[in-house]
Amino acid sequence: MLTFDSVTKTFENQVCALDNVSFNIKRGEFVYIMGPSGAGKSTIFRLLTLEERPTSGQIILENQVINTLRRSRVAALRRRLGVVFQDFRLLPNKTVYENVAFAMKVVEASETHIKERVPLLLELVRLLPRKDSYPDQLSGGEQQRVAIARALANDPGILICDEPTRNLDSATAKEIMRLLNLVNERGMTVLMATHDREMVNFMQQRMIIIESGKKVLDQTKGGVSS
Amino acid sequence: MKIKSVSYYFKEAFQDMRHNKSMLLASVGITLVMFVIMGFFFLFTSNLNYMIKDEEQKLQITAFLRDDIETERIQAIEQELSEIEGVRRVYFVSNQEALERLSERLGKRKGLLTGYEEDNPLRHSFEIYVKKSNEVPQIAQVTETIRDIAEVRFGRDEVEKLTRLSTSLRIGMFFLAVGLSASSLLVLMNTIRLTIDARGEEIQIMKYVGASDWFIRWPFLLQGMILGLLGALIAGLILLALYSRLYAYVIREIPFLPMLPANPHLFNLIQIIALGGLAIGFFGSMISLGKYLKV
Ligand SMILES: Nc1ncnc2c1ncn2[C@@H]1O[C@H](COP(=O)(O)OP(=O)(O)O)[C@@H](O)[C@H]1O
Ligand SMILES: [Mg+2]
Repeated sequence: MLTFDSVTKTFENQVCALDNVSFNIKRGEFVYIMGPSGAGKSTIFRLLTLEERPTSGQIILENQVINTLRRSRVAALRRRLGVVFQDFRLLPNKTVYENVAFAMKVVEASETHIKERVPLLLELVRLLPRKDSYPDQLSGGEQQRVAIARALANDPGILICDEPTRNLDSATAKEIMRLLNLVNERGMTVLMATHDREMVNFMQQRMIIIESGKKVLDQTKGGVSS
Repeated sequence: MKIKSVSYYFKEAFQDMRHNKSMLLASVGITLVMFVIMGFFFLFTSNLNYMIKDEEQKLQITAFLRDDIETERIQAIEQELSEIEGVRRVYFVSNQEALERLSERLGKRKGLLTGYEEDNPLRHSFEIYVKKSNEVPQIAQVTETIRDIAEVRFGRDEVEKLTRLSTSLRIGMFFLAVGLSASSLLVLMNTIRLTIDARGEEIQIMKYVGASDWFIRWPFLLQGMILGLLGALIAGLILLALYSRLYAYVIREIPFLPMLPANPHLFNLIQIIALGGLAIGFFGSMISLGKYLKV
């Protein structure tokens, strides 16, 4: 499903954010990318969305090498990724419903498809009753749930979440984790970065630990013994 | 491009323009002023050229004959002249006819000429009309070499002056056009940049969910093109109103001054201005969008 093959990313300022990192993620898996701040987690995501290109190595998504895609193909690639950020990034002047619908509208989905799908997504994240609220009327956890609904809107092959619980208190964070787990149980491949061990132990999933750009551990299921 | 998307592009474009009225006025205003100035310059120089053409058509060479010439010789010279390469027409003016013309020109003061009817001091001459005005000097030179032609005159001084004026005006117009379009382009770019900034978050999300570059671009391109076109069309109307007044005035008060009529001349100009407005809007937006669409 997703393979990083000896991926190295060195920025212009000689910072080596990723150093020869390889891993392979199967369809339907839930994988944590764990590591302290500055380890290179966000860099993995930016390489996936092609905001950055690797210095060397290959990134393969669904049997397609993506790191060499031409600029004109980037938009099409991004439709296959659902992206969730730590700061939610909702549009403040749009309602909950409109925020989700917007993601479908801008990839030119049909009006009937949008009308059908958005309520289902809001139902999934349990925010259908709040569909006409604006983001600033929602709690952080609710905003993140809208962001997850939006990330799922165009039916991506994989959901990538960069520290989605970072700005949330631990109870709300657990709630988000349950939601992501539910999404995963329904068949979605989920890749999630976090620097918080508590979250990982809570869910007991596969995790890849990155430190200073190097993969130091790739462990399937089970708690971390430190 | 889907039809539904086209209506989306227009909706977004108009929404931005509603939210950004002062910048909208500024960019339409500067575009308008630019096109009015450029339009006037253009109309001025093309009228000047029209006048030059008119003068050129009048342009001729006058060849004076020696006093004691015989009639057969005159016919021979006429033949010779009309065989010169580039000569359109040759017209013989006898000294009698020259005198009549002179008295006509003197009008009331033609009494000055009494007594000269018997002993005409004027010479026979040929008026030579040429096909191309720039060949006048050469033809004049050839004419001078013909036997029994005493003197050759041609009135190129005024035309040359006008042509030189027109050339420098055209050069001036070119630089003015470059300067004015650059400033109007900058103002338009700034307007579009502001609306892009205001939508920075939206653009970022559009990019993350995989909207195509053109989908993101179109509302801004449309906005730029609408602003440019609006400025151009208003400028066109202003030019049309002012020019037709001026035309009517000239026709009435200075009828011998040749002037191009508004139709089709100004209408062609308005079409060009409209295209220019669209182009400035399009490129202004395109340049402003450049850095946003990189990632
Ligand atoms: N565009 C960039 N230019 C230079 N250095 C960068 C850039 N992006 C990230 N880095 C550096 O790469 C390293 C990894 O960053 P990042 O992937 O954001 O870490 P994390 O998300 O794990 O906190 C950090 O040292 C960071 O300073
Ligand atoms: Mg990060």
